[in-house]
Amino acid sequence: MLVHSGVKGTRITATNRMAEKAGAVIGQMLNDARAACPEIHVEQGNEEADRDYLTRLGHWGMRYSPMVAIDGIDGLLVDIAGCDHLFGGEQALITDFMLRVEAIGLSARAGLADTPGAAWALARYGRGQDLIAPPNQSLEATIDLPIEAMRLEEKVLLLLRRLGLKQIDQLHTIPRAALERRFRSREAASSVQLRLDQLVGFIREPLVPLKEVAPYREVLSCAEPAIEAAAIAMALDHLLLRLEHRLECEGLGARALTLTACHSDGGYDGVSIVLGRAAREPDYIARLFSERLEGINPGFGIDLFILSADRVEKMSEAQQSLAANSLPKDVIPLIDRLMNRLGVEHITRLAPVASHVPERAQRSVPAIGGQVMGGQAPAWEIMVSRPFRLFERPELIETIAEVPDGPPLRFVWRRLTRKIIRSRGPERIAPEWWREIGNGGQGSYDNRQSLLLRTNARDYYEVEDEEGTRYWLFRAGLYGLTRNGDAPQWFIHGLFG
Amino acid sequence: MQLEQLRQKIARIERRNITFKPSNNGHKGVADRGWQSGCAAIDDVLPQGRLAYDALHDFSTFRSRDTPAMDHFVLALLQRFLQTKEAGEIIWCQSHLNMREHGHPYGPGLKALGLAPERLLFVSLRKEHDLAFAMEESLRSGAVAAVIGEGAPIGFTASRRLSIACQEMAIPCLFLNNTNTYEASAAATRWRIAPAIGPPNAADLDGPGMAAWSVSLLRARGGCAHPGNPPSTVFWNDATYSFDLVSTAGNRALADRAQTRPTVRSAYPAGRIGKAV
Repeated sequence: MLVHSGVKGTRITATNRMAEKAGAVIGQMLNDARAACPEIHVEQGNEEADRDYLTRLGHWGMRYSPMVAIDGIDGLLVDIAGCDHLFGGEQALITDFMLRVEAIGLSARAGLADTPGAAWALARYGRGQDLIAPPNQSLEATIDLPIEAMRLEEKVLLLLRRLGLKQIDQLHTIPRAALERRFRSREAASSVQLRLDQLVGFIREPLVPLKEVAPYREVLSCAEPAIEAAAIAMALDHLLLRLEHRLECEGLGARALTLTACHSDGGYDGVSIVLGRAAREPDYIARLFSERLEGINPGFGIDLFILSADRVEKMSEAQQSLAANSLPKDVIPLIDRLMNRLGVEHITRLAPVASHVPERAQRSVPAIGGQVMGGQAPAWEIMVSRPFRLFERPELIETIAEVPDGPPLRFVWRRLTRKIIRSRGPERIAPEWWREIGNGGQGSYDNRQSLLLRTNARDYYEVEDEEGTRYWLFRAGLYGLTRNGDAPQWFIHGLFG
Repeated sequence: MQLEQLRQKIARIERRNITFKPSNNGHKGVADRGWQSGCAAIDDVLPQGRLAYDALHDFSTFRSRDTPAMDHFVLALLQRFLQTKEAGEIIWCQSHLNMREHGHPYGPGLKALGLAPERLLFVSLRKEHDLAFAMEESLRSGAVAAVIGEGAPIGFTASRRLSIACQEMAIPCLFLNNTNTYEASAAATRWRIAPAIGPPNAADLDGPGMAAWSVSLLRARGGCAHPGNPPSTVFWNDATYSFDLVSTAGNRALADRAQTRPTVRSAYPAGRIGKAV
């Protein structure tokens, strides 16, 4: 029995069969239950863990259909339209589901109907063994259920009970206008109507899927739970072949794929890969997956694999045979391999940016698809005196200068003193005023501008030490114009070699 | 012709267990199997007077503070390489930390060196030990023009694997050892680079001079390098995009330095060798 401690005392939130036999009821105060049965076993409930587990169970439930939604704190809604024949019919699907859930160690009830409302009602309040509503008979199957099966608010239920309406059929036979008059608020009235319509199917009730439904999805169930890596690889090969066939028929290729492994004990694990260009060749994709497969946790055995193409694109049918010899090999397969092994954001190119501030003049873009789409991409400008390595953050150095505003004579960087023999500069680089307007300054707009520019301007020097190593140094701010009157600081920003 | 045959025979002997594969396009000259630095003092020591395309080249420094100079020298060599190879991308692998410590490659500066930044692909590794994997994977793909790796020495076995990959795919691989540890390597050539004072820049006599290096070729398989050879001091001529020998005459700073510091240093200093060479 699980309890939750709230402001109004400790209440029971969940019970098992034993506790129910002893008389414990959900919502009861713990003390009342203890009084009735002192030896009852009590544990503190953990809502967050329950929700996590339900989500995991939802992912596991995708073995039956890709469309799985979480229902409240203790339910799953699965849209099995078009999926039941894979399991040998609706009855077989329910039986399979119940067997598996019991094997996990959960007690569950399942209902099946045309509408989510009817299925919900059957699962929670249905009587007897037959909890499957025949097609188009949602109402007939639920007609003798209590009104609690309608997913209504407690105060609405209370009113309905006071009116003597205890079953769905009583509610259904009353004319709508007459029913509406009984309620003080319009909302309560319309909620009853809405739930009735949803139950019957007059109003469609869309599910919010746990995971976006991938349009291309292949499922493979194993006779024996798979644990070994070789078995996982085999399953993947098999699924890739099937997926390739489907994609080929429609002239598509995948850009992102996910392999999900459902454990026999209700868990799941998955790996995803991305591709630089749409592809569907099983060998190629299997190679990208190969190293990641080790990361799949087989748990106590995997009994179902789901391979989904999360993103697909039209594939241009290239003439492979002609292109193969004459052109240099394509670099995209290499990028794919590196991306999936090392991480997508770790393979980059440099793209120029139209800015004169050194650290803004370039940015790292993904190796594939990072190019500017449309518009004019700026070109690399040829600039003299630019280092080939730039520090992400300029590093502070200690300097000794001959004259205050000249280049330094010596500087200490990374604890080594370097004596400067030749230098070039200054190259004054002011901040981009259109970006950095407005902190401090009291004068007119123009004055404020010019002051800001002068206090934040940098004087860059290209200097060479006595050994021949060349550095790019700058002084932040000009003498006499720094904010607090201190001497400006020097930084090293790059290396020329 | 006999001379060429003899050279091939020697090359075969030098490579011992590796089959010597003549280029499948029939006879090809030196230019098709390697590229030259453009400076006779360096090229003469190299086998057949060129840096082989199908080999691993290993660069190191004497002290870690000389790393920027080595980077610059290798980039200049790469620029020479790109003069001979107009297609294909260059992949540059280094760890994420390395980029932070030595600076991120900077496009405008690379452009100023004569390299096209759009032809470079950067791999920043979360873990240093992925370096050998990333380099080998790039070589084996056969889809890049050259591979650059930067970091701590990768060990003899990994370097052997890389050089075999280079030979099979005929792609050069340049490895920059930016630590001052020296380990055994299967590289075809091993270099040690130190910064040097270059001749003054004609456009700006007081400013920093031309980029220059003191280059020791410690090993060139099939060539006549020897660790005891004095280093040659070369500078980068950014008008002709080639290396030239720095003459000590007329270069006061260099002449002074040559007096104060011995130019010949033992290439294998005691206590610096990581493993048996």
